[in-house]
Amino acid sequence: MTRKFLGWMVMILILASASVLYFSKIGEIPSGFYIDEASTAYNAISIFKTGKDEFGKTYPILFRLFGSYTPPLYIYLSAFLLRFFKPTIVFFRSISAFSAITSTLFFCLMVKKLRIYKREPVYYFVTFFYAISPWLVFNARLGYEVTLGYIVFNIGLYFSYLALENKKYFLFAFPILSLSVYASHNQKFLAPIFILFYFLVFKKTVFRKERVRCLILSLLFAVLIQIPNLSIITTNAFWIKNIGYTGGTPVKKMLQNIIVQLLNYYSPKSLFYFLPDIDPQHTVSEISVLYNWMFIPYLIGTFLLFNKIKERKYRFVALLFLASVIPAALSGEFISIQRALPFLLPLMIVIGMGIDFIISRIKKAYAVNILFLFFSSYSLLMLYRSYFVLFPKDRAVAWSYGFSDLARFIAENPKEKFFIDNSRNLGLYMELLYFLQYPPSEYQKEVTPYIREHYYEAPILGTDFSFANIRIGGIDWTKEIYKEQIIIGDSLAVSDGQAKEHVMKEVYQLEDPLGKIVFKGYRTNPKEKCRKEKLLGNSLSRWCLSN
Amino acid sequence: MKIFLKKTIILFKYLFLFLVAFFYLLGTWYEKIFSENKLLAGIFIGTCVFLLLAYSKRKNTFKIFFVLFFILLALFQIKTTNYKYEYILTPAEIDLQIQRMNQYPPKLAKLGYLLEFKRETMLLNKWQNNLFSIFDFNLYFRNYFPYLLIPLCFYGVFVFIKNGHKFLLHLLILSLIILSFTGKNGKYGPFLIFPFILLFIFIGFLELVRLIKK
Repeated sequence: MTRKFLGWMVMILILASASVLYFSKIGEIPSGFYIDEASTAYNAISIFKTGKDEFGKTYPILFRLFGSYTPPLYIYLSAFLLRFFKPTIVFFRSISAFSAITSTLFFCLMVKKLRIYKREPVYYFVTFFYAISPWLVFNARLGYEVTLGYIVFNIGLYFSYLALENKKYFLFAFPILSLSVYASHNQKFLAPIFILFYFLVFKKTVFRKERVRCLILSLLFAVLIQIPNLSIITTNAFWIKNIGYTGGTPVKKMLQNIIVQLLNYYSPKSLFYFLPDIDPQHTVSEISVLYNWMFIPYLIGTFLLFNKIKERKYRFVALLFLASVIPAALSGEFISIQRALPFLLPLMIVIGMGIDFIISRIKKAYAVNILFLFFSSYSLLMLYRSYFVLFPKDRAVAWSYGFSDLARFIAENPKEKFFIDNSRNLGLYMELLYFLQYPPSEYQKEVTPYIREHYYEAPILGTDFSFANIRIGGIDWTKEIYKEQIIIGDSLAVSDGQAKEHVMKEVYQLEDPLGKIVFKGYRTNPKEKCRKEKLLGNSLSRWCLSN
Repeated sequence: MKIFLKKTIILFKYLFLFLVAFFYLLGTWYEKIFSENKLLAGIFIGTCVFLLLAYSKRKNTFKIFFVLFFILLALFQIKTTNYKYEYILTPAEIDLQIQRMNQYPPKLAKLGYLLEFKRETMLLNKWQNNLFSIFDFNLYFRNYFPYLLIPLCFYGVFVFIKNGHKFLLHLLILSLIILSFTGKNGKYGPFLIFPFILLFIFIGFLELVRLIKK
């Protein structure tokens, strides 16, 4: 067997084991279908069926969704693939899973091209640990755009490194980086930051006379790809994610925030032990984004990286290591680990340098194999514990658990009228639209045309929605209890005392996997309520008087 | 004689600069220690000074003095930290342990017990928490040292390791290991590491000056 063939066999094994991790129970874990996933899915279905998004906007450049104005690549790709697949949760999450598999392949290609490790097996060890890292496994199972953006950007990075050796790769590098801007918000900021730093750091190589022609052509393609974005560059929608750090925050506080965030992103505690992301939807119980043992190779690798920074390949990694967290650090007051996903690539390369250093100190080959077996088994055990045992139950509510069940209950009672309280979750209408498979053409008629007409001006959406036999909004206790309907809300929406006071009967209840109430449904009884008011001698409401 | 005199003057210049940095950076914290525990205050400043001397002169005398002061400082760190508290579970943590143990499928109940409830696992988790807490940069640069000096500190660490002071590096690792057992919540904070941080900032500053002069 040739060495190359053996290398490919190992690579196939790594990709196969990664696929098992990415696809296993992908429809059930994470529990529920998060509102961002539901919104992406419903808009993809809407584009596929009508060529318009949920608001009736024809082929938007950015999708409004809940006001995030998400870059469109994921939705258009899903819409295209819906010709061949059913719009299930598995389908929408699989796009991220395939992106993660591709990213593993490109990670291996990248480290091999960098020729950064001394020992051949280290390339495969590091690729394996990259593939099974909690950060990538988590992102491989998301039904929205983050992972797709990550892989498109990484392919661009790969070619931009190749371009330092061979000018023809410029023709791929910048157009792909430009395309990544359409994939995710992260890349919208990261791609220009990276290109700027790339030009600054490698100016002597990039601007060589014989390369300029290829470079200009590549940049021209990149700009051409940006024409749709340029057509809306002056709108509020394009700059919507900037508001976090250009608002009224004082400069001193902003600087302090940025420093704290940078410290957090590079901190071993955040990376290997406890993730300080305040959004429970972004985190997994008892594990951070990487395995705890990796912090020693991380410290060694970081030192080695900056010690060898004069060499081009290390400078390239250092550039990524520093630039990839900038958009995340600039994007607001709180850590968001999803925004920092591009950091995973340089981080794992650096950890690989540490692993390579440690392995080069071990003389016996069998000791290296035993160590690899030990750490891979330990890592997989920790991943199983956190992601496949604790996470589905601990984070069920954060992942919008229960909407499929609620939709089933509504679908089973087509003659009933429903009022759903959305006081703590304005996006829940999207969950019901998706799970009830409500026709997008019908829903588009329900939406005020004002949003469609002022689409990129970022108009604010109301809080009340209605479609089919469902109305969604905040409960007005002076009105809703006098209508014959079923009121559904989370555990805080209707207290037992309120149910008793307004003579409502519990008809539906759903618990999360930990046994906490997710939804409660009550049937109103306006007649009985009026009778009770009359008996108590209270002043009767208008509804009671007219009936 | 002339060379010796010149070297001594340079050394004193560094020492003076170091002490200025010391009082500038740790002034408020040191004032508190000085008013409450003069012996600790003396040992702390002695550790800082001999660490600088051991780093810059590499003489065995300085190393021995530094080790002596370091041992005393470590004893104070252990004495002023209620480390037993770090390894006790709160009732909420015990509830969570039981809840998590029950989340495992029945056929993996034993694994659930091992990973979520076993005393050794709990102690290991607590130790792990301490270990990573002392590697949290925000712990030092939010509470004890100014934010702006972070780059100098990192650069100082880099130069320190690059210069290959294995002896001091081992003591640095030892101080981190001690802190990982005692925890960060001592009466005066994790001060065993402070002399090193101060040294790193100082080295970073000197290297920066050297680079600018170049």
